[in-house]
Amino acid sequence: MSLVDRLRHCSLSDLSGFRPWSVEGREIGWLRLDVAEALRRFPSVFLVTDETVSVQPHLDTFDYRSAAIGEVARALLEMGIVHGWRSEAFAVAAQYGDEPLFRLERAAVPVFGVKAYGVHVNGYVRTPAGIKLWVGRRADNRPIEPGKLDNIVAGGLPYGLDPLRNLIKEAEEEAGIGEAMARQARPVGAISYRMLHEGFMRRDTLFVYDLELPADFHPANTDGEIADFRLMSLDEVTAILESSEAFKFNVAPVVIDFLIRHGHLTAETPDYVELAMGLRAP
Amino acid sequence: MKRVASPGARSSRSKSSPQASPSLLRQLQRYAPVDYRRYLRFTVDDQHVGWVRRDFAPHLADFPATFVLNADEVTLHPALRSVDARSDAMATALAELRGRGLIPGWRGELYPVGRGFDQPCLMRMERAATPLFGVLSYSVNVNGLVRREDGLHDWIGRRAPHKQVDPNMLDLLAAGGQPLGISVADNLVKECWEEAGVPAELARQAQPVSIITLQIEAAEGLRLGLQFNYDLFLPADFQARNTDGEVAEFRLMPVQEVMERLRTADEFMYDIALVKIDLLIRHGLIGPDEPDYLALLAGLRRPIAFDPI
Repeated sequence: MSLVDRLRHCSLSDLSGFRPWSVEGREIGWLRLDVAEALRRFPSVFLVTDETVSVQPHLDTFDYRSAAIGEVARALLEMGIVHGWRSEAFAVAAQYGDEPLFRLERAAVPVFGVKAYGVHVNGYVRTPAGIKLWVGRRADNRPIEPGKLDNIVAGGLPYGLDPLRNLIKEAEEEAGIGEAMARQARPVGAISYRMLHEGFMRRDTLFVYDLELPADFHPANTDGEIADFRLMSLDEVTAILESSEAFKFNVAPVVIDFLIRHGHLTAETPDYVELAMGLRAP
Repeated sequence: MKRVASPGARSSRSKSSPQASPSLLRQLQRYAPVDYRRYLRFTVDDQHVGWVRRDFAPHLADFPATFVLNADEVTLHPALRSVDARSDAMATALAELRGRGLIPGWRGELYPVGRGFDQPCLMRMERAATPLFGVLSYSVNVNGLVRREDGLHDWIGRRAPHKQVDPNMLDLLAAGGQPLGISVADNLVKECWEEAGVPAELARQAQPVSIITLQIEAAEGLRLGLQFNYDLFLPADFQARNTDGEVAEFRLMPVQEVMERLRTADEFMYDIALVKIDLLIRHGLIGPDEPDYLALLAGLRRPIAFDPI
């Protein structure tokens, strides 16, 4: 096992099991082939061919599309393709910054293979012994990746919401970081990946922030999602990443990006170029 | 140098941005995307390692013991089995081509040829020939930074007017190609001294922070580059001083000014503009509310296109 396995885990290169779908000629997501075929049952909403799926052109506004696709999502729930219903609508756009094309129930996002966004914060402390990173351990009752290691603050970003506003909210809930401290977080880039997750194509872009914390600060979780926090040296973090899957699958690439940017890995590190290229899926 | 607006490039969006500043994407659009149909694959030992322009390939047909040409490929002759044999045959052919005036800017420096930085070196090649064979070359860039009360500052050089490549354009503290036989870290120390008068003990404090890739059709040929970027934090009283005559002047510039210049003009060397955009991103001077933030990130590190083995 090596660091680069943590990145490869989050990349899907074989797209043969999926079919792209589009809205108004713009690619919006990737459907598993059986899901694409299931959409043939809704010809007033989707035009399904052997190569592509597109939303019928008469659905030409945000509201029309949201209502029609929402009904299909409900039907897919009854067919057992969509699992669960969170009653939380995500806006969907072809690219970040573009006008949203429709809204979609959160539980249906992976089934439709559309892009989702998140905000991750590396909370770190400068010490005489070098930089140390705050690492959280996810509570054992979390539905996704219970017990895995996590960033000090991380969360999904509903489309259209300001990443910094979302960060400030999550920082308070997840780590007890007040607004004034959270505003010191610095945007440092983003990672994008396309991976197979629970049988569907997951396409996430995570906006990454670094937050330097005072030496006497200790994060305190308030929403029950994190079991405990530990301050780790970068050598310890690297050793864990190299030898295990203890970090949550999409936190590992965020932390590797941190190690690269802070000079903890060098050109002599095995696979440095692949690690520094990072995850930039379309 | 040829600069072409990318015909397929989307114009910058301004919707998600509070400010109306011009997009930094202009820097990534200074060159049109490479049209690989104009090239033949260059292979060594059955491995795709470069691209030869179709109109340059006929010159290589004059060396049948060194190159084998067909409709899609220029292959280094399979009888050349060792790194030394390949390198010697290549050197002989390049000397002849140089004599015909086909290899301008001869450097007398050998570069490795292979499929990647941590892949085996299959052959050595004169630096000036690398764009003609479209092979991947490596280099090191050093951002010279100063933290001041009034914000982050960056040492920016202006290239000497007699430089063969990009005279008078804006450059960073120190940069250099990565030849064979020297580590990236040692090369950095050497370039820091020659270009900016940074003492070795100071230069060694530079931290590796990122890479960028380069993929452009320049005047000298197809440049495929992988560049290792370092940040070097310098004392406030440090004065950059060129020792090899290749830099006309140095100025300590607020990074805000670097950003404004990148938004409005093409004064920086192309690859250095990419290095500076990477710097602006890593140091949080632009964030997700910057128009084209994700497109900038993707553009800095586009994968280099070789066929899979």
